[in-house]
Amino acid sequence: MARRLAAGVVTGAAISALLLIVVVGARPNLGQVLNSASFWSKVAFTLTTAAVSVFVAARLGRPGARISLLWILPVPFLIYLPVGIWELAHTDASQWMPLLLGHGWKQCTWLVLFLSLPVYGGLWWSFRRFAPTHIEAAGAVAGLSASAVAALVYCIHCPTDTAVFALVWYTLAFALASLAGAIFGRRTLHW
Amino acid sequence: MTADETELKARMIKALDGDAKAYQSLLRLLAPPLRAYFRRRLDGDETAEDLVQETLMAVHSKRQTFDRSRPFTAWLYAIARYKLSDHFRRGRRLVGLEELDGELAAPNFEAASLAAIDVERLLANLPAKQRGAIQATKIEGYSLSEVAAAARISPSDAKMSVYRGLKRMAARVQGKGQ
Repeated sequence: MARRLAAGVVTGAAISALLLIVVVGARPNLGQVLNSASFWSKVAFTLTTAAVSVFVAARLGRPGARISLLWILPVPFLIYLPVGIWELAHTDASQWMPLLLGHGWKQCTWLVLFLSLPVYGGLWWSFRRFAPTHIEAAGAVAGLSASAVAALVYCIHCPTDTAVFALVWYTLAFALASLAGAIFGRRTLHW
Repeated sequence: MTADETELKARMIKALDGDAKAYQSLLRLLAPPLRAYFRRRLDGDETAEDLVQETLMAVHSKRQTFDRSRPFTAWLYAIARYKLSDHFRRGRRLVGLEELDGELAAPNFEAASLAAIDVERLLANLPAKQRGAIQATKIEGYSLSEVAAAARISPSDAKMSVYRGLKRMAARVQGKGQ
């Protein structure tokens, strides 16, 4: 089961990365930000969200899984939240909007959602062998996993490294993907 | 013969490791308890057997989702419960259509009404206990155990009342009674 899930996620992520590089390309200063703490904290946020949600998805793939496991999903967000608050506290209120809007807020949410499609496809392929008994929850967590992996891939391109930006726009993409996953899951994850 | 958790789990693990004999005997052992599980919840509905088969098929096709560190029966009944709720869900979806079909295809509404009146007349001639049991189980759709609890009698007593009442009604319809 774990192997099948990993295969689905990794294949989806590879296709996403390829799409990202072909469609918008990597950020030009990727080499320079590799020693920036704000870049890595953003990567950590997306990576932990992806890891936690894939873990929960694996559990929800088994019959009789407890729905109460969902409480761990917002933990990465809550850990990252103080970083955003710290940024706001150390920025003049007049500069809050630029902090929030970053360099690409218009495309960020949509690109993450677009990049999550191949990952969702891979997860869906894995789930066909699974036996979720909470269909909507399984679909939602699959959607969340897909978008979190997509956000991780998107870090290759995303020119904005502020926590406020990621906390708002990435999280919006996560919420939309979870909703779409729940709706799609209800129709397609029956067994 | 009923096998317990340890026995079933041991067979399941052997089956997952490729022991076809253990797998065969596991599936054989699972059928009777599953049959009992569905029959108890469907109250004599003949779809119970379909659900037993569906569950056994799911046990086969979803066997990789069994976690060896967890109890086997919990996994099995999670599947059975899912199949049961799926059955009810499907049922609810179909009820609307069936009712509509019934409306469209019943030009003899009058005959149906008369039949209902006949049933009421037949019921009226039964002792109160039998009448109540039949009304609750066959017309209002309660389960035997619910009826027994409401009337403060044992389930087997309730079952017997239904049986005797139906027998008496049948006899009357055939002109043998009284």
